[in-house]
Amino acid sequence: MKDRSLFKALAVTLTVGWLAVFVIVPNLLTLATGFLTRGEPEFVLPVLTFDNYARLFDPAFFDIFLDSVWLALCTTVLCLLVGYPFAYILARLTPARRRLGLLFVIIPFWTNSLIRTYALIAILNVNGLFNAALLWLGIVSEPVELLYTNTAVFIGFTYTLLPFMILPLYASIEKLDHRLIEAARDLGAGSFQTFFRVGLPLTLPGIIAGSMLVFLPALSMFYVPDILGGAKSLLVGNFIRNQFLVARDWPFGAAASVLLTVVMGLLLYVYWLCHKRVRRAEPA
Amino acid sequence: MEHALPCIELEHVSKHFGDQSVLRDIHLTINHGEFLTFLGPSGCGKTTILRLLAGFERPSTGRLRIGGVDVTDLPPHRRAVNTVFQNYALFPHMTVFDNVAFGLRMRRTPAKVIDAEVFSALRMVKMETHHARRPSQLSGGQQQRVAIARAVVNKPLVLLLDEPLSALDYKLRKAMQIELKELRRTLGITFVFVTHDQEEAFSMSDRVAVMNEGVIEQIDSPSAIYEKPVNLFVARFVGEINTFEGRVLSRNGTSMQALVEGEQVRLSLGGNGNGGGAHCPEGGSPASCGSLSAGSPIKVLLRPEDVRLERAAPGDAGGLTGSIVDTVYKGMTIDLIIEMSGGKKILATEFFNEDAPEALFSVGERVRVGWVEDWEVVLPDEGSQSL
Repeated sequence: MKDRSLFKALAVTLTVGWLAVFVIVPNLLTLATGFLTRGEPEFVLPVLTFDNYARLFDPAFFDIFLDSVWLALCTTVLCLLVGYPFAYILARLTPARRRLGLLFVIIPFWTNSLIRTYALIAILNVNGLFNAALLWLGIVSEPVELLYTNTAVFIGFTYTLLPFMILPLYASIEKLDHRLIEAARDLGAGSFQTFFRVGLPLTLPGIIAGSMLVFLPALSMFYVPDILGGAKSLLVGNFIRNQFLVARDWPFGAAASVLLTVVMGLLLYVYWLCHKRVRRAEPA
Repeated sequence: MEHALPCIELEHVSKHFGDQSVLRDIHLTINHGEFLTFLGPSGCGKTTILRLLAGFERPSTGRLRIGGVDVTDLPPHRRAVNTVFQNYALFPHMTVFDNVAFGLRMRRTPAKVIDAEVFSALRMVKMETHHARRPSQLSGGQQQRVAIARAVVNKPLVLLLDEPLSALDYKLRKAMQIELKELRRTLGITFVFVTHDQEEAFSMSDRVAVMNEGVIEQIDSPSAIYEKPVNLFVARFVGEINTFEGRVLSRNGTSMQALVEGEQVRLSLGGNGNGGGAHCPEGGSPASCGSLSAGSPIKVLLRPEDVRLERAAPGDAGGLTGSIVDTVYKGMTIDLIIEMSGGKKILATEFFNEDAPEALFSVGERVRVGWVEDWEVVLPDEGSQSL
């Protein structure tokens, strides 16, 4: 009995301690830094100001933010369009093949995503595989300049984040009771109707979870646009990184970071609301 | 048989998955308005027949006709049948109303008509006050009713029911059986029911098809299945039955002399219809029936309630005798377990007579085992058939 309560106390302390040191304190520091003034040698001067947050309403920053959201949204939609059929087929395979398929989804994680992003350069550049394929298929007559454009970033995001869409989708499609699909067919619904009236609504939790897992990183990830987007494409993630490491303006970077956190928090709240609604519909 | 029109016709239908044969050459006609039950142990192919009728599976060979239309190659949504699924399969993200309206909406029925039809279907199953609930807010029995309403609201030619009562508790199951029967009467549509519960099959059906390993062993009225089983499988699957080994000694007309458990007894060979007795199964091979000549091995089957017991006098010899080894009180009846002289144990069911408790047998008593003439079932010994 005593051992158990000791274990409980230890586990709780460890968890709370971990969260406090690595989540709560850093976020509070960021939040506080946003209200301070920039200083030359010591990065931050303890002078209270709202200037940093006010600067976020600059149209230039707003454009960056909008670009980031748009790119993240496109990435999410493409991942969903590719990931849903993939996950659906995966869930319908025999158990042995399903395990193999899942393994193929997971194998890329064995290589650091930074390295995989560098590998994309070799594929996307003018003499790369992608252009060679387009030329061979006769889709283009001249190699296209892909690298260092937003399209390259879009491809990089989609490639990097696709597994995060597939896995939650797979989980919810696999859980889908096939008898409900049969019931819909039995009641006169064709394949199309069956999917949109039964399959899709019942896998909504997976769709929302996958979209969150793709959208949120796509909004803040900075190394993919750094490597594939070059100097021209500035996204929120790079912008924040630049404020800290290039412009040495910690307070402004912190303010931008807080804004991003708040936006993501709101999205998670929306997710939670949706999830609650769907969950209530599920059988007890 | 007032509706002698065929509603469902299966012509030499077989189905295999890979190299596993699930249905073998099923040939069957179900009439309009009939309540037919497929009864059998799990894996006998009864659910596969239902899935073929619904269109979820296609037969490997053979044709299916529903209402005169060949539906062999029609997908489920284009067939005039609806299914009540084993676990109801109600759409969890829809209200009761939307669940029931689903089929009508798929057929683009005008909203006004949908409203009226859905409520009339819900009223029929006494669920109209629950129309706004979600399936998760309903009990098993209520979900069952909604599932039935969802199917019958489409006015199908045939209602397919896949063990729809198996998830309900005993009392509710009994009540639903009666309701289903009543529903069939009011709707007048054909019911095809699948179950592994013989009591359920008997209490509702016009005809029962007993299935085993992909074939229909016997298809007949419940009483014929119970009283005149064509083989050991059917006899043992529906209710308790005692089996005696024997051999034919001589045969003349409607009766024969046989050696049963080492004793010579007279067995009736039926023919007069009412009782049981050995008979030639209509669908069975006449050869097996004709083979009951002197010397051929037989099985004599006797339902526990058909066993008649008498106290054996001390000096009594001859006939089948045994001693009571256990009694099981069941309320209305009492089960007696009797060990025969040969060591075989049999079961006899007696009515409990409160006015004459002294008439009851007690453990250790020696009894003479008999039966009402003509109620025994004599089958040729099919060899190594076992359950």
